[in-house]
Amino acid sequence: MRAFALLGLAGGLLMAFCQWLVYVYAPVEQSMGMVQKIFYFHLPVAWWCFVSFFLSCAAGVLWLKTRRPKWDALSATAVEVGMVCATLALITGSIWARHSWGAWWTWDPRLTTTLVLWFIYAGYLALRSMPLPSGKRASMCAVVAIVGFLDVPLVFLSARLWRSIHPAVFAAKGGGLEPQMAVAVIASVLCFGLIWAALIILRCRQTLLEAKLNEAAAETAPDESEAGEN
Amino acid sequence: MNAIHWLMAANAALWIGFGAYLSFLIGKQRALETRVAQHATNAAPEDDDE
Repeated sequence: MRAFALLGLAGGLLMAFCQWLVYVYAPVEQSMGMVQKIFYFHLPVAWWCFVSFFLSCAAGVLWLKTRRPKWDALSATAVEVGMVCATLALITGSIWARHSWGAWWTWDPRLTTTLVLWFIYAGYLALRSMPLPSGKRASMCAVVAIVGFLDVPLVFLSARLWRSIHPAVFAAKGGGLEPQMAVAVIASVLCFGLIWAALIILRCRQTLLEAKLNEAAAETAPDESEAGEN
Repeated sequence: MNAIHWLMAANAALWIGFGAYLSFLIGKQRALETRVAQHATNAAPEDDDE
């Protein structure tokens, strides 16, 4: 069985176990009630979005250094999967905020820096879809991935650096989570990690295959046009 | 809406999001398989000539 299928299967099985951990094993938080359970999937998608953008930055550096197509494909894949995670983190966070703060959105430092991050990588995807020579496009995208990653530490530290109403769970002195809650959230992070890895591997293979097919099509295209002229 | 409804809404959003991306990947995979098959068909006469 292929690596991505194994990872996806393991992620799916662990997800079933995580549902039990989240809804049965972990206690219900006293002040927020059941809506706090959103945290168990909001935090993992947010963290894997940061990991995706780090991976994209690292792959971008490797592309600029080696010019190997696999690094460009990995960088693009990581941004795409990262954008899925970032969008889901923003949506689930917004639903949680509507219940807890009474508003879908506030211009809080954590939320604002996350939105800026989303727009940076949306720009990356727009740049990626532009009809440019592949080498030039890959270099420009690598630069955006590297520069865009500068916002990630800012997002992570925003709730600690500035006055933020966003909870900073792991920054709380003495720990902000009950042990059962910590077990559930760690299992959830691992579970989403397996699914994330499966998506990255599958999409990266697709991107590389697509690039090879485009290359082959570009090589045969002049022959066909010559045949047409004759 | 009570807490359970908000929790279900967030859950639905998450799985619809992942489902949509998976559907996109499945569609892309099918399109690539079609292109690979076309490429193999186009390359076959050249191989016969050789």
